[in-house]
Amino acid sequence: MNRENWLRFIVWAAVSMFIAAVIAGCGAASKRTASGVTDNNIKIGAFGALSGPVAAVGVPVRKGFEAYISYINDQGGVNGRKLEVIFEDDQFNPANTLAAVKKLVEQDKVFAISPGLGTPGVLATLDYLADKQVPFIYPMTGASQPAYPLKKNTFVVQPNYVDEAKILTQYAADKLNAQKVAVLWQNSDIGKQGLEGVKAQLAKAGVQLVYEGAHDVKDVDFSTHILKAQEAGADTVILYTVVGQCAGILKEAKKQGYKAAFVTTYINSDLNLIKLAGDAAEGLIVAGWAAITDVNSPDYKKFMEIYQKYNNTSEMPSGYATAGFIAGEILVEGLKRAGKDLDREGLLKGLESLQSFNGILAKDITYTATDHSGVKSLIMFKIQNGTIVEISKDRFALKP
Amino acid sequence: MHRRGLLTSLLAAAVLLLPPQILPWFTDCSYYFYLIDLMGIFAIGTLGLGLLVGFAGQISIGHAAFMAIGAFFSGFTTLQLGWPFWLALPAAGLAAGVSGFALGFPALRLSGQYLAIATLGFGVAVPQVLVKWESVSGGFNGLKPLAPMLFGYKLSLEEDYYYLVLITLLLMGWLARNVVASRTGRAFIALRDSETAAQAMGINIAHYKTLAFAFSAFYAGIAGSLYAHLVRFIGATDFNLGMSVNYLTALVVGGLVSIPGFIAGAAFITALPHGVNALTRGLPGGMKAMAQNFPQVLTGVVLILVVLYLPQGLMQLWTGLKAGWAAKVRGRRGENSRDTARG
Amino acid sequence: MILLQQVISGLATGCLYALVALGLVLIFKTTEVVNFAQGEMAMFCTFVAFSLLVVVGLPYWGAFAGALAVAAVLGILLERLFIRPLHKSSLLSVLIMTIGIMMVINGVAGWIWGFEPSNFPTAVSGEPVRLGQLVITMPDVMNLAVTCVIMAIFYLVFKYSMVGIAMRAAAENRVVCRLMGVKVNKIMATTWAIGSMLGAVAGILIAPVTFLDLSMMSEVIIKAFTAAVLGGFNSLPGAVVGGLLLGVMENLVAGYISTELKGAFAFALIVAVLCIRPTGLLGTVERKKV
Repeated sequence: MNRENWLRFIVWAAVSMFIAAVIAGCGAASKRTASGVTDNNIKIGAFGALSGPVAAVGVPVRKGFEAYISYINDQGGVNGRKLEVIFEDDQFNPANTLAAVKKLVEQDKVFAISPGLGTPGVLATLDYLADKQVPFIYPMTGASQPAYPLKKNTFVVQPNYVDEAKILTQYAADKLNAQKVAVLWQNSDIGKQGLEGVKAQLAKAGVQLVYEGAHDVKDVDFSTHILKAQEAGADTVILYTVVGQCAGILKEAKKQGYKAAFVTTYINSDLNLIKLAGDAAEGLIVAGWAAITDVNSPDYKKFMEIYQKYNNTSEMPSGYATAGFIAGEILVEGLKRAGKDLDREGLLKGLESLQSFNGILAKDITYTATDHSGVKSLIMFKIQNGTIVEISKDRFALKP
Repeated sequence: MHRRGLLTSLLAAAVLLLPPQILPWFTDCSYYFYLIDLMGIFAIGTLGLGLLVGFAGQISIGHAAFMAIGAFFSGFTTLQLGWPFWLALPAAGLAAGVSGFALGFPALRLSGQYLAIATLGFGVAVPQVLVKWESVSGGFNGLKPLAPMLFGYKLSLEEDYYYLVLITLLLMGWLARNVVASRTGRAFIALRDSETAAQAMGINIAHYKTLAFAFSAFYAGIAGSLYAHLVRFIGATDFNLGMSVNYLTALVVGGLVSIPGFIAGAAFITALPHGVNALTRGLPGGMKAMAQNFPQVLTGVVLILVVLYLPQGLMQLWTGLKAGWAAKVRGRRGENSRDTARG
Repeated sequence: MILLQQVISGLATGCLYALVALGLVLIFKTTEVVNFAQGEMAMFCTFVAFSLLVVVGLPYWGAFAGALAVAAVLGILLERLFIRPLHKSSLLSVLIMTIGIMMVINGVAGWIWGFEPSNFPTAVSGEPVRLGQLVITMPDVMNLAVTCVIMAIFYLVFKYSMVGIAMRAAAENRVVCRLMGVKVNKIMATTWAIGSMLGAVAGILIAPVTFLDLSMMSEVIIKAFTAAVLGGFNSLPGAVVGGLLLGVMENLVAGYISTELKGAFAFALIVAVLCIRPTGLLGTVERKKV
């Protein structure tokens, strides 16, 4: 292609870009406008993987979140304003997340971001949102960066995996008489942090780590791991992985007749685990940070009712849907407390006034001006007779 | 002709260089410039792949791995070793280029489907290795490179970064065009059309094959470094098979042997998910479920259609349109001059 | 004893890789296409089986047969509509085509069946077989049996039947084949139908292990590629040998070297084999004229 055509092409491309940008610029309002709040409307932005391999997490989160928001809107909204949710798909690619968040904040002018799903996306946009002072409510990740160091605009809900693993190890030592512990972990940020937490707590808990084995994200063969854990004589096995792999490990353990205490992270407090593992899941101890256990409790029933009504379905909501639901509850409570005269500062103050807040699923949520790290204690559940039951009403936290 | 050429050049320069200075006065547009920057970065990577696949006739389904190498090299050297950006950027390209050269060696013995699979294996293995190499890649937490400092000016705004990407893209495009027009380019094409014949004509297959891989990797490395300092968060697992497939798609869609085609294809593929997202925003609830997978399905359909009906990519449309227009013009001129014999 | 258990488990997993690899190799051998969509096709048919089981209420073997029928139709359609038009195109075009098909099938499956994982029943159930300290589950036995049977069938068909010989001939030289009166188009369609059915069988046997969801084949397909490369991409017994060997070696690496490297091992293996012996263990070298 000769030079003339080159230039023509450049002009053609650049002109279209320019025009597009100008149109976009004209379409948007002036530079400084009210951020996402009108007299009867509040715009909320959210991001998560809605397509691609992680969609199995993102889609339920969105369903749970939007169900609660629709429920609130049907009741008249918050202080007379209805909530409008713009949920962007980032396909678990942080470059896309950053683009989506920029669009939400700058073009759509959302009032706040809630929730944001996925560690890479959260890590990529955390600083941007803090710089722009956009309230970020419930970054859904087990990483610790959103909580520490404190950011004025960011409110974390679920405990991070390192702390959780420490609590689990201590629990195993105190309540399960564990002495030799094995850790089977997923080769990802989840598993790595879990292993780190366990290792950090070994001395205090007085237990010995006799075996640790990693498996890949989509692994199917766990025979080696079970064999080695058995060989090392572990009486307690801590599983740091997601539902699919957890079920696979439990099935393998049952197949080999390995009798040890199995403990796992709150990621697996999900009815899907029982669906997948069947009776191999009997006796599994699962941590949880939200009291979503008893499917017969009035709270859970209310949640299910809302979920099924607004999603037009009769399927059972998954653990991820409950997380989305709780995000909605915390956001709405914060908005309520911010009052009719709504601005971002007000939302932040409103959230910081939460003290042992109890919603339908959200329980015991506390924030202060110096602590936005959310839930720090766990409830322990056990899988018994095909359902998840609370072992006790106690909550377990880290002792300093 | 000269005056027209000059005018076009000036217009082009104005359109390319002025918007980032003017638009921010009117509106918050860093989102659009972010997208444009991403498109430009991706275009640089696609240029490299185009040299390898379109001109040299090789196959690579692991291109993202070279981008990863460039990105982490740049991130690591600027963050941990304190290298200045103007050094880290070309060095990242070189680092990736060297690994491309290394991949070229096993590629010498393979062709066609086997090469495809080998590059697939390479492309999937590199992020895994990087993730384990925690001191360099930050493991699963990734790296957070900083906005680059160039000539004492911090390029943290997307509008400013735009100039960096634009200049790099123009440079790399110019370089690509020169390579294609040179002896090396002709050797690549000979290699593509028939390896055996090329060898029979005395072309050193080994030399040019490894060179092609090195070139493509160099481009990807530069793209990787620019990417790292734009997004300012890189995780090893981001440079996955999906990204490599996107590169290939950009190539096929834009046109396998057309440099402007590479750029157009890259822009198209980068903008596609965002465009589809914007389109499906307003759809009612029931359609929303459909909308979730839409970008993926649409990309797949585009791939299938382009391969079936537009083997030379989108540029075929462009050249087709131009040819049609030219024929029309000629036809009219012929009528007017009543000289229909001269077409 | 651990070693033996690892080997047995590895063989059982390896069968799953082998079945998918068989489909890949069959399609490659006869139509010279590397079918990147093989995994998604298998996943799709497995979902069909699931629907037949759960929604329509067919018994297991009924759903199995139904899924196979759908698989055959799918294979024939894909070959006719998307692959045949490209038989004169470059390798890259065909490759991109199969990648496009992969994305569309995955997307459409998501629309039809959603994103949540489900449990998939095994073909046979019952107490695991225990030989001393070794444990072999009934599904494992089933997988091994199915793989052997399929292998035997293929061997006989390819070597002795007219269809098999026609397939081999079509792979070598289509034009001459046509001149000899062989209906090449029919052979191509049949090959894709069988390849697709193989994938469906693999998917149905794999689903109880990986659980049924959209991405269930994403890792397995890469392992299948490794197996095919290891065994020789143009050798059907090679695919099976490669699959079994890979399953066992993975377990040994996990057991004796490091569990973390198990995944990287497969890829390192691909690259190593391709460097040292590109035709794999049992493959043959193909010579092409200029």
